[in-house]
Amino acid sequence: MIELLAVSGPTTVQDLGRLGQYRFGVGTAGAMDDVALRAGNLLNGNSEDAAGIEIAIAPLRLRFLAETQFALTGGDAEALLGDRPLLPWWRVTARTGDVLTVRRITRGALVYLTVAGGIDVPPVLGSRSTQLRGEFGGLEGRVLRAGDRLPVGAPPARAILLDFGIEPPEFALARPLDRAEATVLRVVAAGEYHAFDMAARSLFWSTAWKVTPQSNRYGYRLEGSPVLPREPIEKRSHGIVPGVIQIPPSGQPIIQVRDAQTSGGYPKIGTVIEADLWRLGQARLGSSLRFAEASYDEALAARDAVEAYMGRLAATIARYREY
Amino acid sequence: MAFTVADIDALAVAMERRGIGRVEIDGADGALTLVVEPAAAPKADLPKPLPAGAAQETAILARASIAGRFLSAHPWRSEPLATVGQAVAKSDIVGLVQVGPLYVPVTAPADGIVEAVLAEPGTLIGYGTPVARLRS
Repeated sequence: MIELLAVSGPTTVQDLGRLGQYRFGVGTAGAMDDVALRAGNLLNGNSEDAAGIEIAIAPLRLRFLAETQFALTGGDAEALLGDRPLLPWWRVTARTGDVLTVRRITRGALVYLTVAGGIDVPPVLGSRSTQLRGEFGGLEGRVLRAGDRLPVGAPPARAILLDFGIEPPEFALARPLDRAEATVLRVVAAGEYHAFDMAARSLFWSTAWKVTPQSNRYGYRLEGSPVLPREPIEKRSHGIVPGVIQIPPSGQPIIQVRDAQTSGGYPKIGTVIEADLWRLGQARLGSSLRFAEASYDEALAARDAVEAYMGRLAATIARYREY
Repeated sequence: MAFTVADIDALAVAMERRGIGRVEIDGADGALTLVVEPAAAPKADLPKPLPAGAAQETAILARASIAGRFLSAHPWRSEPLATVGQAVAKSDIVGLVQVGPLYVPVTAPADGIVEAVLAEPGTLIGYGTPVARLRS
């Protein structure tokens, strides 16, 4: 059991999402940085889709009410277990009564706390993710607050006893286009791409888009030079998925993410590839995004690269565990 | 037959744990011989109990528990994990050994003051290599 002592922003229970419910209008929810959640689960010996806690704002304080192995992944943070500082992408064991403090997120936007055995809230429609719009899943379908108690599942039989860390994905999944001043997201053209003329398209690809404060788990609203279609496009609402980039009449793109509605009517200029959604999840408010054009095959290859990284982590951790 | 540093290290650790002194592997494209020197056993880093009344300062060595690349700081952090003069508590992390995507901590075997960092960042170090010297 974990007891939340202090929570200062939208912190939720998330797993890899509620898949297969789109036809009922139920969005996926799920971790914004799925790579961090999966890696955290691997560090704990869990299955990759166990539920963890997505921390969006520090400070956060919680107490472990029993001995618990846990890991912190995602962004970097000034975090302490008792008075001992913790390293990022690291797993340790908390003793009964130990307090974890996440003081400040110093890199990226989201920190994930995963525990051996997973956060054991009841699954709803096949997932433990918090569905904020429908107010179900997670803990009572809402963000966490001080005083909440979260159950922890039975730890995996072959528990890892040693403390260790893993390399964050930015090293293994580094890309030549990466630069300090902007997060680069690969994008495939979507349904209405050809309704934008060459000038509008080139503006879309060349602009350093600012992530506005009106960005959250529902969508990221961006700010930059307006990108407008040749003539206004009116479409009926149609199915959209996390990653879709819509252009509303203002010409300022909106990237729909994990808590987005399952349908929308704005024209879609592109879709952030699945393998880069974690990079979007770690983009801070006020930071810049750039879009890089990718083909469908490149998108699949990028997904393979993420899977290869996860496979390498799983194999190395399994071998280390056997020592 | 292609061995990575991590494979060789896994073998070396398994040998040490099971008391095997020597392993020879012959293959089409090479041969590998591993010898575990009893003197390299890390048991030596357990501080010996001081005789009653002894007041002398004892040097304590923090040693690598695995072979790999020595890192003095986490790649996301600029500050080193151990600096000369720093007070550390038993089991505090004083360095990292990178093996593939894994970071394995080198920990202080006892409370003390860091007297010297002995390993060069970025270099390959072996199982049992002293990484930091502490003064009690």
